[in-house]
Amino acid sequence: MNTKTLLGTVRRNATPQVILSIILGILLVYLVLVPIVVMLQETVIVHAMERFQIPGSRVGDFSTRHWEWMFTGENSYAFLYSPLMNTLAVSMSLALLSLVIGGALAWLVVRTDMPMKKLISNLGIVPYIMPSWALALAWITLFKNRRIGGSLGLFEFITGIAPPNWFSYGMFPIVVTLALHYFPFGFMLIGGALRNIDSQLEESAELLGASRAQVLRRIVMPLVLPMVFSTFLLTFSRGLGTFGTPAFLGGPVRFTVLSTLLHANLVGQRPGMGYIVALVMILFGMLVLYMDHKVIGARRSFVTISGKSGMSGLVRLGKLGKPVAVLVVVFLLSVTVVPLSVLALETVMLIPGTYRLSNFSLHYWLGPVSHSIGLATGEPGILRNPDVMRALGNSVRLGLVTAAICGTTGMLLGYTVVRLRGRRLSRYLDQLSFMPYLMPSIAFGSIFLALFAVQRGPIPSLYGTFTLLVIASSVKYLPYSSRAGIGAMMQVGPELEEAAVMVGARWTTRMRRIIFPLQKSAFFSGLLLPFISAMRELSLVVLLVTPRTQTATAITLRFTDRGWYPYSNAIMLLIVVTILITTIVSRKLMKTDLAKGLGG
Amino acid sequence: MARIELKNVTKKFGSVAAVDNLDLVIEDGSFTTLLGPSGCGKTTTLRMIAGLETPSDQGEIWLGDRCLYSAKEGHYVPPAQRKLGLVFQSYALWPHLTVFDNIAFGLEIAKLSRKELTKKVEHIASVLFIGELLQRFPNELSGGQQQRVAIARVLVMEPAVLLLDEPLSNLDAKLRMDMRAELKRLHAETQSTIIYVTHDQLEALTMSSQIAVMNHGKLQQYQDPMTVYHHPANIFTGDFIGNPKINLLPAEAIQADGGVQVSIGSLTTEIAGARMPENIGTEPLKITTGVRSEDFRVATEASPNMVRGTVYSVLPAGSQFYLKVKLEEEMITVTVYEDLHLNIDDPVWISVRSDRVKCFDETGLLIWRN
Repeated sequence: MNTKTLLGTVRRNATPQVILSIILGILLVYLVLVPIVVMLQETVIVHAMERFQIPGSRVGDFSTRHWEWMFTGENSYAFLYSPLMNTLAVSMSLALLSLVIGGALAWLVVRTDMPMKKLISNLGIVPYIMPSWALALAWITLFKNRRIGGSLGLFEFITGIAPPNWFSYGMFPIVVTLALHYFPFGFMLIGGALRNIDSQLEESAELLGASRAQVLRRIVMPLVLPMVFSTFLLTFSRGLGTFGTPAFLGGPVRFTVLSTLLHANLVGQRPGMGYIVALVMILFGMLVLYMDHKVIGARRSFVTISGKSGMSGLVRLGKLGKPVAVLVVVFLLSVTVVPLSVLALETVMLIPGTYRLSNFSLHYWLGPVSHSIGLATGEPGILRNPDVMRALGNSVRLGLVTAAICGTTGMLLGYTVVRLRGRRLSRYLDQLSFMPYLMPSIAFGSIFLALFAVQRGPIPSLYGTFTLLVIASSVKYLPYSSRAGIGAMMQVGPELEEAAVMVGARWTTRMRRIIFPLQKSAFFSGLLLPFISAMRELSLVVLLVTPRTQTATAITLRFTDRGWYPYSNAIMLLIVVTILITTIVSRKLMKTDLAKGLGG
Repeated sequence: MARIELKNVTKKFGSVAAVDNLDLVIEDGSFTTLLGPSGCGKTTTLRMIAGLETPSDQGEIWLGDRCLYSAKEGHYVPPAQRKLGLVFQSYALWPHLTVFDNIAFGLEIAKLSRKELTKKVEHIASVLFIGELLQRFPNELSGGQQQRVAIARVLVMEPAVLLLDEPLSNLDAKLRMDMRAELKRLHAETQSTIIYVTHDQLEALTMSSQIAVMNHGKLQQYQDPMTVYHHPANIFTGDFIGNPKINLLPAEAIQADGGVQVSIGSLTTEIAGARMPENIGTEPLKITTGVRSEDFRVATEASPNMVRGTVYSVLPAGSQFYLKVKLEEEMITVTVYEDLHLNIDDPVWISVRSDRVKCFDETGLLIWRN
């Protein structure tokens, strides 16, 4: 092959999709895979604060001490094994519990003639769009006992009964509140799978004499089983990486899980041990990713793509219909409206723990800097507090920028993955962009801490910058957008673009005039989830924020740490309201569909 | 001049050759059909002509005296500069654009003035009877209308060659019949060169001036429809073309005085003027014969030189009747054009039209052409 042919070959193969895929591939490798190597490296060197614990060592020396302390040392039970056991127990139980709740809801809404389905469907996703630890804050407000000092919980105030410790703090409330946050996964994903089952499959079974129960057990269950399992894994891995809830509810009784352990290690200047914890979490994340791939891999397309299906006769609930619906609505209200009201109530009671009308005050919202009351000395009301306002601004900005980056990248990723379908490059890109989905959030955050803490080659240290938050959030939430992008691109046949190629439309013209207009709704759906996630996320950014780049979520942590619950509750309410308004507006204006990006 | 020539063109996907060393000349003004089963390389060939695929570093593609692709020279002309029009199987109408905008898209890219553009779009729309539909969206059109729009979108660019990729496969049977006639008319009126891809042998027979039969990326036969039908170059072509399928029957051949005598079981016939290949000795040659269903003669009573068979099944089809007949060891399909009032298990007597029997050697190639 002479140079001329070679050049020709290169030019012809260098189609926009190939160039794009290479750029995206390099970026993803750098942002997803390289950090893991960096973390490994961090675990085997001596850091500034650690040289006193390792006699005769200097900063930067090679040392396997961290691994020894964590895995074989005399304190390894407290350092690693006990938090690990706690984490697995919590994640397992919350995944099971949320699966049961979500699955049952999905079945009721999709497969039965229960009334009030629309209301229930809408209410059913609300817990998911709230920050995960909003329920934890509400739980504390309700069931606080005297252990952490200060004021009474609402429950004790009303009944006079002090809730026991196991009920107020630790594993039990962590599992319950997280399950109540994550059950919408099961609701949406299993609901989608149930909806996609071709009714003919069930009808043929019925015609062969199978009873309703048999159809459910022999036909429906096996068909949705991969999705059930996938949902379980997804929730499980979310449980691994969540930080806020175990920090708030576990802290008072020293119930430690990996995420709080990781946080404590990194905040306490023990990066070597911290990164080991992160690696352990990533290992579990990978395991989950691998299992998900094994179980659902080929079936995924079956579940998400097939659209056409009639609905066979719904299961008749008869007289039970109404009571069941009412029960479901009451349940959903009690995990959404009730906790938010409790939070709201707390913010307007001047003296915490005294729930009387005479105690009503907007002090925590609008009050001036005060020195007179015992709580929160020197802190102005939330709406007059420049720190809080800046943090809220940061959150909205983070949400918007992340959404824009994710939406655009997700669409381009969808484009390249679908256009290069069948090639190895396409498969790698698809898998690489999906990896952050199942990575424990806090471990993922620590990855970026490791990567950008110091200058590496031409890339400057980004610690303490807003850019770092944007990068971390964009990569973490990219899977939502890339799922939506890939799903939408599947519907756009290559001929639609080739027809434009035939008349000489350039790539940019094709994107602008053909691909983008066809993808609009999917594109906006791909924006919404990253926006919501970036707005309400704490676990991912908790390690990355500095006072200047504080987000609204991170600032709540500052207030809860000091026991200033009215403030953290008020901020929580602001976050929830922002998210709710965005969701509703974008649903009305852009016809976005939250479930689209979730179809992992 | 819109003559297309492919020299030595190969396209590999991975290690599989979708098109294997293809040489093909498509004459100016012809209606040439690329025919074959799915995966035979016909669409890939069309897409290489269009420029949407490039050959795997080998061969050349010419349009008249203009080189479109040459591996040796490293030469490649991008699709839009080839001045070829491609109509896709799915029509590929842009769902978010009106019919007008769909047709006008290419002209816009070519930066035509609004006035000229409108004139051209309206003209082509009236030629194809879609003038009333210009403001509609594709999903508001019937299949036939969508197809016209797809053709209009291509014709408005005044292509040198029209490439059609299975354009009728998404239409229902009746509409397909109408569109065949219209496409043929379009060809006659515009006198353009058309390259047409299909897997439907009947479509190929009814519409083409030339048929290129392909299988496994290789050209099997390239001739006019009647020759391809009556003188298939090999078993594959004979078997692929014709409905009902050709009857392939094992036979033996020996040299006789006036030609070659062929025995299909006890049914014998003579191919006049034919000569056995040299150097095969005196043993009868084992061959495969191909007999089309209409090339049998059928009698309801015993007659000389006919062999008795048994009716296995009768399939009336209006203007003709298909019979499945058990003839000695073989099951054959026979077409008759009158109602013989036959029932299952009735005896029938069969002979063949000797001038229509096709003989293939053990490699599947046609031996004698009578």
